[in-house]
Amino acid sequence: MGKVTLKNISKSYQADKEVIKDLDLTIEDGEFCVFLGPSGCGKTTLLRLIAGLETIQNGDIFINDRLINDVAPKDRGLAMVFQNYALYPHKTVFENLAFPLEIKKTPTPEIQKKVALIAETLKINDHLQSYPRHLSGGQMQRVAIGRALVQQPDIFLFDEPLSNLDAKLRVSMRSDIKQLHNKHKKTFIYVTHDQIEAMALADKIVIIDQGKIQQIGTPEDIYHNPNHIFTASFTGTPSMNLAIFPKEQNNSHFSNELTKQLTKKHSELIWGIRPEKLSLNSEKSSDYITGSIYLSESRGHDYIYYIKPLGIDIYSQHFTIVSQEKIEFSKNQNLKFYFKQDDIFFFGTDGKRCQTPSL
Amino acid sequence: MIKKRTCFDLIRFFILLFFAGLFIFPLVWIIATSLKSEIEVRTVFQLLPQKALWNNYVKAWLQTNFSRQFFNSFIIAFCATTGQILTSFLAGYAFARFHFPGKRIAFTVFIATLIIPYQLLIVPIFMMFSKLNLIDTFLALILPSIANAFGIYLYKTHIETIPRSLEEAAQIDGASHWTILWSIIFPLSKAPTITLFLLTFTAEWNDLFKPLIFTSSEEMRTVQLGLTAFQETFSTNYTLLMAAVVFVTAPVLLLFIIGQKYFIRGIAVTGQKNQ
Ligand SMILES: Nc1ncnc2c1ncn2[C@@H]1O[C@H](COP(=O)(O)OP(=O)(O)O)[C@@H](O)[C@H]1O
Ligand SMILES: [Mg+2]
Repeated sequence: MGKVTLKNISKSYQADKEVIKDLDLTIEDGEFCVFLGPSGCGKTTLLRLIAGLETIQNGDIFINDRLINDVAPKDRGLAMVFQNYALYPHKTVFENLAFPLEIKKTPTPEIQKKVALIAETLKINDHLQSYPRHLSGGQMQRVAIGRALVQQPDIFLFDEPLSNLDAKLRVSMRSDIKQLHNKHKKTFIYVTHDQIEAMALADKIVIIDQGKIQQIGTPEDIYHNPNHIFTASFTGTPSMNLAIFPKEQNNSHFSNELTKQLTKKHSELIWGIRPEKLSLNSEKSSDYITGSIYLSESRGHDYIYYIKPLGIDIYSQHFTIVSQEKIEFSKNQNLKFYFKQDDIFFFGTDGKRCQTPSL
Repeated sequence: MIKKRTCFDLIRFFILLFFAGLFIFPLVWIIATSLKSEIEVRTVFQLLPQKALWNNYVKAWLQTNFSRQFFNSFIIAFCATTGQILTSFLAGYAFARFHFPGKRIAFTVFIATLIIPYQLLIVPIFMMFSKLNLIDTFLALILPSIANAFGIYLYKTHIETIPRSLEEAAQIDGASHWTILWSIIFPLSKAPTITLFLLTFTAEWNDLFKPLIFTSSEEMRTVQLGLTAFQETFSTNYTLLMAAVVFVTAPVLLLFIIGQKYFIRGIAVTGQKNQ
């Protein structure tokens, strides 16, 4: 069993600077939970609080409904994979894997059996006698994961385990970790700032911004139903297009009815649309924005176009569209980009999502 | 271009050779003298002996009770060194990792003790030891060397370069503080340990001052006191003295040759900037 409950957790390193602010969260047994947020938002701190490497100032942490605020890390039934792997440099791969078992006074034959098994699964059995400094990044990562696995904990903690690997290895290790989770059905708590990684791995994504939870949901939820402008702009590649909603009535892009209803309740609004929801195809909708393309990028299977929309006050850094087909364009040539009203998100100036009135 | 470089290399080679010669000359002179006859030392002005008298070494060994003195010196140097490594490691770790009130002041005070010459402390220590009835015992020679600020500094700066995550990983793996210290941090502190071992062992082995002050009996003599046996009131037997110097110096020389690699690394660590 590996259910983790956080109740009103606060943490500050310096007196007046709270890194984690009054945070509540429940992670179910066997869940793959990913903490996603920009660098410095407190993800590592939160993970270390769960691990017991930092003490909390306020609130309670429960594992399986047992209060563990003052329980030592080793008695929490968890294992952790560190960002820099934290392999013992003076021990061989075998000794690294055996260390947690030796501490628990496991009999030698059993240690050998367990380590051999783990090494087999992680394909590191050829390197058992090597020292960490002779391993590649990917192999070190496997040993680090192996050292966690060998302890057979109920909860696995990962702190950006793939961030030091090159792009290709990152993708393959990612699927390996997902497979491990499917096989062992243990609770995985995983920290990353990479939304693609989070989407690929998570059962549940916890979006963290400045020490506070912004949204909790499945990857689909987070993507299709962001409840905050932060979540919306943090997810998706490229991220969501955002623009100031014009207050004037002569709003060419949106129906008069919608404009009227929205401006009645809010003085100022931001609207957004995912780049892949804009297209040159007029079949499905008659709503469009006009703009010219000034830059294009190919991703192999599709294309990203950067556009300069006409009469729109851009709020996000860029305004982009993603297209399956290549678009022939010339500079300053105005094109129509069609969209469906349903795909538009509205956010208040406080960043919170406004429910779109039914049309 | 190439010519210029070889020219520069050549100059550098000779400069280094000159300094190497400067350092090695006394050693060569000692060994050469140890093989001469006494008359030769006084009459012939020549570095190398006309005929190597290996028998000098046997005579020198038998001159005084060297086997007992080697034993004494070894026990004292070994215990003082081990003790100093132990205390320095633990204190260095505490200074590197723990936060406690007055830490910075305490460390400064520790470092400041390095500027106090030992000779200044000898009188109070002597009085203390005589009250404790420690004069003329091994403890009198071991205790004053059992802790030293330099060792603490050496370990502190080294341990600060070891990533904390190693300790945290071990903590989660279930290791106690004590286990982390001895099975993670200590093995990773090879360089300062060997450096401290060499420096302390050599200093203790070569020390003449403390044995002279704190011991009086024949059985408590160390090798350095043994060397004084060759000095008589009106004459000194140089050939035998030099032979004795050779075998008294040999253990330390051997240690340095073995530990050289780590010694240089340990010193290099202390030159490192704190993180
Ligand atoms: N040991 C520490 N002492 C002081 N401040 C810290 C410490 N660890 C982290 N912080 C601060 O806490 C904030 C969150 O850090 P962290 O949890 O590492 O963020 P993340 O992992 O999301 O990048 C940062 O502003 C960081 O500077
Ligand atoms: Mg982090």
